Amino acid sequence: MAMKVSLVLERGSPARLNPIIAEACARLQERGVDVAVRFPEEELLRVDTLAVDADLYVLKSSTSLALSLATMLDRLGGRLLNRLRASIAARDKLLAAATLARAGIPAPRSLVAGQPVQLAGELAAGPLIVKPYRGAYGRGVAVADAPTSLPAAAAHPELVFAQEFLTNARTDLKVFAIGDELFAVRKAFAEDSFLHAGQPAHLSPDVEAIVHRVGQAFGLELYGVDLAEDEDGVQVFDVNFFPGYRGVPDAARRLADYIAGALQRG
Amino acid sequence: MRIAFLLQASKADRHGPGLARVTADTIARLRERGAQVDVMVAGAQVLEMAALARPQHDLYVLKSKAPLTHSLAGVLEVAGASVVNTFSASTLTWDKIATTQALAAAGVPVPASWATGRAAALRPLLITGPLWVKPQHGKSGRGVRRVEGPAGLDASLADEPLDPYGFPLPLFAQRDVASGGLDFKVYVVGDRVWSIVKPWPPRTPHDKIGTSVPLQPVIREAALATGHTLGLELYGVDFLLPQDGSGEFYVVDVNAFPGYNGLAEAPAALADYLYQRGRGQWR
Repeated sequence: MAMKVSLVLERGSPARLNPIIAEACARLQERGVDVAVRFPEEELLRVDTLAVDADLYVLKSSTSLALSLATMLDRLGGRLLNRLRASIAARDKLLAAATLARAGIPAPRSLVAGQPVQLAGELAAGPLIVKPYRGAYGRGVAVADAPTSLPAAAAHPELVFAQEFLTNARTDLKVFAIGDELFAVRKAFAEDSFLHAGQPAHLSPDVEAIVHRVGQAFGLELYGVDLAEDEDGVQVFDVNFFPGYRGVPDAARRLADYIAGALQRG
Repeated sequence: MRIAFLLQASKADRHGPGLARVTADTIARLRERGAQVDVMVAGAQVLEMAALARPQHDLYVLKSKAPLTHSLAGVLEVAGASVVNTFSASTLTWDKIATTQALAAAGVPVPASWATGRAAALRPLLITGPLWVKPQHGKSGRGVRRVEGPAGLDASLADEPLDPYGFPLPLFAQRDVASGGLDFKVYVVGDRVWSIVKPWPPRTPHDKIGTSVPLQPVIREAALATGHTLGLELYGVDFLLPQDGSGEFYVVDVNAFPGYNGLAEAPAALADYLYQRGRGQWR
């Protein structure tokens, strides 16, 4: 019988399937894999009788319902890519910072507070980048260099997470991982930078080693790592599970290969 | 021994939360036994993440369910700290959707339950009977609505609710179960179990405290199975017991570290449990 893979996705705006995902699905189908694409928000999920109905679930959504579904499938013995714990740790920026610290991975000074206004006293040491603790796609990210430029409390209703903004880092280095394979692009910092492909970049062995350590520390297999580079070296300032892979050569083929391999490994 | 209670600064009280009586009493008893107890008020000030990498206490008690306190508990656990209830148990219990599935899979009776991101998806279910629609996260019945029929849906729910960050918010719905006008609560500290019955809806202040009642073995067993399934140590379980002579019951809510209101024995039991847990016993 054909193996079945179920992709748990997030409906973007506009509502269309990411072309890389669409092509990866088509390639898996060509190999005889049964592929289901799910948007949990658009389903009516029966919770108390939920059952595992695929050999592998690929989690590419960070919504609360997608995480609930992943939690339930994991408890029922379903296989998830990435693993549940890895996705949970990457989704919460506080847990991610703690995971990086525990693994000794260089990361910017990070702060947490109840409300943005509390960060005013910290700006004397330099500008901060303020991020929603469960953010994605750069949504709600703001750089503050003075108390008046701190975001409003309404944008961070539960807590506020901030990192030292590395002013000397001219560009972001974004590294995409598919298992052990790494691909890097360099791009200027921008709030909508996730939409831009950036310039392909060469990775030094040191940076490669740091990215592999991130994968191991979180237990991630399909992930993205954002780094800032300056004269002193690199620092990891963001970790994402299942990023968009924009700018990665042959991304769809590589993803399809990796997912097919994960299915075979059983 | 050093124990820290993780509480959340409320917006109303910038100087930190007033301690609930059960918490204050538990802390006083732990201090009487020689434990050094600190109260950590999350959100009251700026915390350096690096300072959390080296936990200073033998035990952290996660009292608040606010997202900041919850994430800090996770951060402390990643750094090797001992947290009660554990971060994974608290995370699971905080998610009513995953909790309900976990209980059903463990054989604990729950009402028929559904999750979706679209209120309209609940419409077909409402044709056959009323639903309780609940937020995925929540406590003390906040945000819980009874929807009688398809017409009630449009009046009470946004079709595609969003969280404060603009991400879709799930709706959780459970089939209505006749409760006989009673709210039956079971409180657990380790392996000690109590039960309280409250009239629903409450009409007098005493109704909110409730009356201590003897525990049926089958309910005791279901409450302990709930805690075991979710990995909880300090918790409350809300039951519905239809008064139809069928002997049926359903678990409709679970709370990590509840208020233990109306239980005079709670502070002593909590202090005992936390003291032993801080010494690395239990579990």
